Amino acid sequence: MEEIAVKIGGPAGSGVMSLGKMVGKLFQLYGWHIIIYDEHPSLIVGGHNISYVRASTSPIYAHRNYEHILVALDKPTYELHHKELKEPALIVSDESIASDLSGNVVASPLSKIANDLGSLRYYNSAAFGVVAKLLGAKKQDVKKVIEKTFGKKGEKVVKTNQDAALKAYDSIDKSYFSLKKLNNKFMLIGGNDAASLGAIKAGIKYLGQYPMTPASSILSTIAKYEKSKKIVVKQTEDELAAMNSIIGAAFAGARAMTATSGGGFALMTEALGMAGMAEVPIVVIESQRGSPSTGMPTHTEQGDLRFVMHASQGEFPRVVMAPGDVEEAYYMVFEAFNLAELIQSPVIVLMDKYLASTIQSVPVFKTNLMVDRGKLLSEEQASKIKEYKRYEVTEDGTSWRALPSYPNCMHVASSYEHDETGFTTEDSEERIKQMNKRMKKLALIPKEVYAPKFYGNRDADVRLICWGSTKLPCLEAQQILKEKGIDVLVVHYPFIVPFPYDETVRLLSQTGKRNIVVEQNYLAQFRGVIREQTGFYVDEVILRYDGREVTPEEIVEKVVNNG
Amino acid sequence: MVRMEDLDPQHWIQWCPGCGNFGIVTAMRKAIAESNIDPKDVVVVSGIGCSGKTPHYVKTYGFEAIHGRAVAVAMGIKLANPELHVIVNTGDGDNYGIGLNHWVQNMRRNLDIVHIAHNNHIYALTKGQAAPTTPFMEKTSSTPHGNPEMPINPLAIAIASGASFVARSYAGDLQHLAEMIKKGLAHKGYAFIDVLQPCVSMYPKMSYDYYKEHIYYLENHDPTDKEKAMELAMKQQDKIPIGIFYQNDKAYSIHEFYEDIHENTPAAKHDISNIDIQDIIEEYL
Repeated sequence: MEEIAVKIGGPAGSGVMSLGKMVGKLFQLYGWHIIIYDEHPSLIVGGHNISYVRASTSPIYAHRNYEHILVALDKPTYELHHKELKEPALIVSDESIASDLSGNVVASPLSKIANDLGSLRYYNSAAFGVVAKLLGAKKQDVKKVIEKTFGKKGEKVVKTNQDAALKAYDSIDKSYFSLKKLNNKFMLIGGNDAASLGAIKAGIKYLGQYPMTPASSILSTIAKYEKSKKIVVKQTEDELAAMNSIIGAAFAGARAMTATSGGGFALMTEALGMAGMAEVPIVVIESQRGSPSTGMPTHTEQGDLRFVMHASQGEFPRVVMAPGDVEEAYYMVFEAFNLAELIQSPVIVLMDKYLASTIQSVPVFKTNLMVDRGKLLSEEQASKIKEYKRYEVTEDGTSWRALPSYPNCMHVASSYEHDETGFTTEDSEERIKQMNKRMKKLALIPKEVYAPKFYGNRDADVRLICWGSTKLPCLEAQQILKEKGIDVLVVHYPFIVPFPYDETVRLLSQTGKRNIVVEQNYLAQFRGVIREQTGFYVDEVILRYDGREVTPEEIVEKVVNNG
Repeated sequence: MVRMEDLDPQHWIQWCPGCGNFGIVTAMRKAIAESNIDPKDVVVVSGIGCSGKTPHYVKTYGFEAIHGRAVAVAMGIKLANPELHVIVNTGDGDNYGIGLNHWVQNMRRNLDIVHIAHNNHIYALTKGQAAPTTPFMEKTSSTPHGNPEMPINPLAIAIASGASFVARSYAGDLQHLAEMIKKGLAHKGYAFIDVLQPCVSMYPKMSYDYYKEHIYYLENHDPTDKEKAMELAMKQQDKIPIGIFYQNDKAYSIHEFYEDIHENTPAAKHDISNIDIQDIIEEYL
């Protein structure tokens, strides 16, 4: 396997992320497997940003702790990262700071090229030209990437950026790599965009959202398509309105969603219970960040697991799912809408900053997915009903939904306990009937839907047990360990509620195995969930709560050094 | 023709005898019937409090939401299906206290709903605590030594926030209130009606007799004049004017922005069985 890693660093606002994406797109043209990982403080301008692009001829899953090329848009980038360089250890910089740097410095007159073309704005395209040359990419591919990046801004912008890139390309005389063309066709997409696409494919018709890092780009991405896909996108006054308005929209018949982070979700919790009580199907994306309180807004964590599992007073059925990678973000958000309508209750999709902003090369998303609206009456069916009961007690706990404007089905959806018609009740018998009705709905979800996923040899002596985005570093660690001759099974839980009891018991009741739970929090929350659900205590954990995603190297070290 | 009986409640009404809410819900039924709106196309949304029970006492669709959030729920319903007639019923604490932000923001959006605020100047269901509308230095169960806060001015806030129909009415005058609601239903945009409502159990001081003495009907007031409307809303006087303070039929409403989305069918009823996303996928190839 061939692999190349490029790290780009510079002050926030200098276009580090977009340069990272351009380098990613170049690898995409060659059919390579790609992962792009960004790190940045919560600032618009200033501060130190990095974008890390890793590409390989075989599948890869996570960022690593090294790079082959370091693009230093400023001096601090060099100081902070040059020790991570691996052969040929190239440092790309503008000629103006080159003399301050030591090592294999590739200097190019980047700012001069940009200024000659009229603006420093072209600096990044010039830097891209240098990287492309070092990688041994063809000029036509450099032009293609620029075209893809700036196409929407018009021909002139494309042309000038191409000029900048090619001038810088020509300023370097040596290539250090040659990019093998592979026969893969990948999408290059990030977690938030994949989740947004899943929602659009599922037929989202109302998005109510208040901006909050790291979920904000879901709002801007879906808003881009509000006209073409006919979606009501509403930026609300706060998260209370976001949540309450999606409940209203869903009651009216629209597939409705909100997206937020932990702090916003805290404001939504009261209404979450209303969706449970009134049996309104909604989807909530909760994208975790360093917490508690405002915490570390632009850093990752998995500290909200227990919070979303138990949020809101009382008991009602909910699903908690946690996609492990970008591809799963698309398919699982799509699935979330089906499940919400199946159980007529909230489905929470737990993401985190790492997954939200990590960009991966993924097989082109399938679009032949089945929309299943569960027990939702059509207007025609409704018109034939004689006596409609919205909360009719049934065998499986679900009852037919009728939408406002349907004849014969007038009813009140209520946050109060209610009888079968929706009328408020405090009667003991009615209460028990409705509680039992609601609580049994979760059993409708087929077991195969929420089963854990196993990667690697089922008989391996070491198991890495993870949920959500830690799947990625675990899979990467698995590969490294394989090279060292250590066989590891990765067990990933895409669902936490409902919990896959049978598979977990089967897994943990085998003796003589090493089980290690890997998660991004202090309290080992998922280990606690496993113990609560099965009685099994997993004694080894790898925990990280400094806002950075656990690295494959850390996992390898723990496995090799036996704790 | 829709008859008032078509909207009759299916349930025994659980309000105190003599409660002002009887007048409000009857006026609402009368207004819907006289506007000839099919009850199946109406959604009555409420929050929590005595007013919260309103959806159960009119035979339409309804949503009894949580405290303070009725307007936010109503926004979701109306934006997803603008063909529905959405009537929000809130209390004074519900709307002017805990839910104030949603109220102000949606008047700013000029959301096309009718909003009836049951204003009894007290938290009644929780047994008589001070509300945002309780008069200064009034003794209540939560302010035994007097309420140290100035009451809110709902009509001035409504006019300033951008509601395009702002009225005050009185629960004891069925004809007037029904007329206000009818006009609100016919109005495109946020129709806000603050309704003076006697609470016979928890705040008997502002009784039917009190209002009989204090209210007067607005005459010779031009509701298209926003400055005059504001002046009237701000005016300190013993007597309380009722009627339409402000109305602007031409104000921009947020629904205009979404018109093309609902062009043939409201979004809530779109066929979503096979949404084509190929064009979006191409952007990532």
